[in-house]
Amino acid sequence: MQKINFSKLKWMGCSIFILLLSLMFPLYSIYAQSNDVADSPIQLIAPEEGCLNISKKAFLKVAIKMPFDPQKLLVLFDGADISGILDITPEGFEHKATSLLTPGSHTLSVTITPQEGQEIKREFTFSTCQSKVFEEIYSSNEITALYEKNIAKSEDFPTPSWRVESNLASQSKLTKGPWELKFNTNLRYFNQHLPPAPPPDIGFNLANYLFQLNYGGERISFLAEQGDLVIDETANTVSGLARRGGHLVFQSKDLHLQLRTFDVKSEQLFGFNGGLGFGANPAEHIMGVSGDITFFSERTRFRTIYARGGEEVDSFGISSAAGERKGDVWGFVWATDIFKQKLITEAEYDISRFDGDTSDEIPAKRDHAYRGKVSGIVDKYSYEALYEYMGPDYEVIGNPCLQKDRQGFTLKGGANYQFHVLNLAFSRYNDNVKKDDLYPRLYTTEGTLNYTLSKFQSLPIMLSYTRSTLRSKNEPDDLFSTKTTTDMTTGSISYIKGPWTLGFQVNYSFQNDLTDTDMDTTTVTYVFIPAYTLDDLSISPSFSYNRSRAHATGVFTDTYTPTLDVRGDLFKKKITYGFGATYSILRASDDSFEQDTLSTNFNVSYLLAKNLWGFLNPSIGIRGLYNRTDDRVLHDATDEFAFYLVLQASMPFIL
Amino acid sequence: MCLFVILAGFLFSIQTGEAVVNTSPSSIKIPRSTQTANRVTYNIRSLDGCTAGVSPRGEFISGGYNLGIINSPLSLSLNLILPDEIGIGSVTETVTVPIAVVKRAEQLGLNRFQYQRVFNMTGCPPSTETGLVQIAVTTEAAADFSITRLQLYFENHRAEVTVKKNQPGLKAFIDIRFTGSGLLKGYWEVDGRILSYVDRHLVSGGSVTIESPEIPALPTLDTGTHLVRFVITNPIHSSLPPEAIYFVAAEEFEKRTIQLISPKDGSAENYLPVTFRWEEREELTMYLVEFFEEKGQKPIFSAYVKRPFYVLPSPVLKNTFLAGKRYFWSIKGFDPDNKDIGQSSVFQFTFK
Repeated sequence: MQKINFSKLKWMGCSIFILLLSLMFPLYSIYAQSNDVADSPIQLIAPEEGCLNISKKAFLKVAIKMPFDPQKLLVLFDGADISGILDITPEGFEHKATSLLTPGSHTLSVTITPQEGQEIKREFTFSTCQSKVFEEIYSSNEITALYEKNIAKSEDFPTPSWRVESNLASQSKLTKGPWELKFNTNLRYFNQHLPPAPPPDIGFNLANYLFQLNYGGERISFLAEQGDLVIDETANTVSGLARRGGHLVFQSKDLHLQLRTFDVKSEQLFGFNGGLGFGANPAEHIMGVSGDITFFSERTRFRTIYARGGEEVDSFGISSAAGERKGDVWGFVWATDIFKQKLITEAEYDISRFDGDTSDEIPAKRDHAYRGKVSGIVDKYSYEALYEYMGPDYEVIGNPCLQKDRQGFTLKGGANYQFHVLNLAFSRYNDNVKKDDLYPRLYTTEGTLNYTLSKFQSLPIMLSYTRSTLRSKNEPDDLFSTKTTTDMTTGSISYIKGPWTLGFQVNYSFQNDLTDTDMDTTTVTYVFIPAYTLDDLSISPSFSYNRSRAHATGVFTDTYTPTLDVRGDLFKKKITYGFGATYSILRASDDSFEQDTLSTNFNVSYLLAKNLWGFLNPSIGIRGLYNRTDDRVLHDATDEFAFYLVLQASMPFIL
Repeated sequence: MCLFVILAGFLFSIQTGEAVVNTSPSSIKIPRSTQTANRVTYNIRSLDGCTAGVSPRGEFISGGYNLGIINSPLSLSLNLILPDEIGIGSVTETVTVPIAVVKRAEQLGLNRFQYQRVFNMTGCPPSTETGLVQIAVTTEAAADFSITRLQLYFENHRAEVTVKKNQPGLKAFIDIRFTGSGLLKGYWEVDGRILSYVDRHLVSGGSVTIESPEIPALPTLDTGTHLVRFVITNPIHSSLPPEAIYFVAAEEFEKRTIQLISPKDGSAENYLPVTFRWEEREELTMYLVEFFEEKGQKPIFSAYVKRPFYVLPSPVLKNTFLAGKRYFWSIKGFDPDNKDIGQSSVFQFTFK
């Protein structure tokens, strides 16, 4: 028979006891805590703690079952102190949330100081959504309606006898789980007595819109956009391209990968023209795909892009001498940020194929560009070094401001002290990168110094100086010789005291043409702005004087421009008024022109009702303009004026 | 050499003893790979009583080579000045040199060529008069000062925006793509009213962005559509300036200024519950005090109050703020409808 080891049993018993104790303790803790909660003098009455409440503006009600000092009550709602806006009641306090609550979890922290004893603090959590189906759903809209009738005008002044305009501005959002749908638009109606020069056209116009569908999952996210977009890829490919079309973005957080594709109309659109913007015709659209992959906790990023398309001539807001063109581009970017913005590096290599005029027989040309940039911010100091090369035929559809046939470097440094900010920049570039013997090579060297003094808050001072020099080399003959220096100096000082702002600015610039043509020019401008701004009255005059001089002819032109803008309201905004005027005086020293121009306009409106039927704000008013042009050389003066009766209304409403 | 070219142009422009065609300018320098629009004026002086002239096309030529044509007729009428019956007239055209013409010249190893217009004169014995412009091709930076592209837009990067009535700070921007160097002269104009003049030296070809002035700002007084333009007067720009439109909605942009009282901007405070005070506004019924570690970042702590002061509670001070550190604070104000219509400037303070 086996002998029982009591020593072992004793240890086993102890172990089981400890195990039971360790199991019992948390259970007891929970029991004790629930007893504590039940016994706590601070109880959340509304909303119910922990449950899902359907409420756009939450109502909070807390019972405090002991005397407390309201002055020492501290209530934090989602971290914001709301103690100062609570309604203290005999039972505790209440609060109707002032704004829409974002859907999700909310925390209410209540700290009371009993008349005798230590602080007692309790925290409650609850969550909200804004509808039974959706967590967040709203549509904020505003309609503007305007009718204008001409009541008097000068003879031959081309103004419509009546005009009607209306605009519906709408912002809508719908959220459910990881899905989010947004729609923003401005739908406009325009009509007038005379045919307009579009845009806008007569009738309804979709001024702009953007439809966004977003899925934000834990591992993947997805964004689909359609409407008026801005596409930003890399500096040397598609950058700041604002057009109408579609954009898709897919992101995998596990793979640290983002893929994008876009297709936009190359013409800038207004109204319903051009449809949805995207399409398959590469002559009228710009389309592309791009991808990002990140490594080492997103400290290193690799991006590649391919874009192609075609552009036509001028479109809305754009005027160009270029003809129809098409092309494609590949771009590769490698960027790192290893030391938390202290050392940021970026390298880009791009290859483009571009046909600057599709109507001729000259085929598209292939070329490349590259750049390397190192930058960073260390404490108060910032720095940047950039080297870039653009081939003579490097051009990109959708980025017309790129400067081709150029290579060089830029160095920048900055220091940001408490009261002093200093920035320095130096650059040197040359064109004709392939050293084509038919053309000269032009070297551009530029240095800039900017300094801002903010020691006196009411007296900020800014100084700036830039010197640029141009020198040509390898000229085929003297005709192509260039030798120019340009000095530009700017200084400004402001005095800000209460409603007063006094500003004074001087710009001086001298371009010295050192070749035989000697086409030197100087321009100097003085601007003085004494502005007075209150909430119900704003007076903003300005006085500017400019003298520009062409040294070769000795002729100088003077331009004096006083302006005045006044706006204000009376009787709690029952009456609003405004006035704007510019008087410009142009004089040439050789008497070739001598012209005075006056442009004025004013309006006065009376608010007929505020929130009529809860949403309508109609007003009636009068507006007018008077313009005078006096050509003192041709002895030709014209006067024109017009007055209009204006009926308008704003109708904001939230669905 | 330059004088030689001008002289050659002048000599070329004189075709017969009976008439003179002067072109202005007589020579231009264009960029090798960007199309530029150039205004050329032909001044014709006829001694034999011609009353009109017609040119069916313009031609780009060099020696025996025809580099390209512009199939656009040009006609002018001459005013007869008595008693000698001298006919005088002028006509202007915008000559855009196609890139293909420059490429063809490059293939021939040429960096200069001529643009020629032959006018068939009428009202006199049959004759032709020829106007010539010398064209030199060079790089963008060395070319004549000229504008090649303009794009006008607002902060949303589009040439269209919607704003509220009396909204301050509306700005327009113009991207100017140019060749050469020179003095840019132009002005901002809204609905025909000149707002301000711009005089600025541009250097070495490239692009520049100019923004509309802060004062006078783009006016937002009148509800409805408004038209903005940037009109360039030098260099002479033949294309119509682009236009951008902004719509002023009838709803008022309401922002009331709240003056901060204490602590003063830049002050150093003891590490104790500080009282923050500001000017009370009659139309504001609630204030939001916000504290920041850096301007423009999310607040680290905020508080809603009805009265125009706030005492930082001790628990918040200890848990959120550190002694020896710099912070920023500002106030927002709300009307009875809880619309955010008040805003203060941002003040800085440091806990000792």
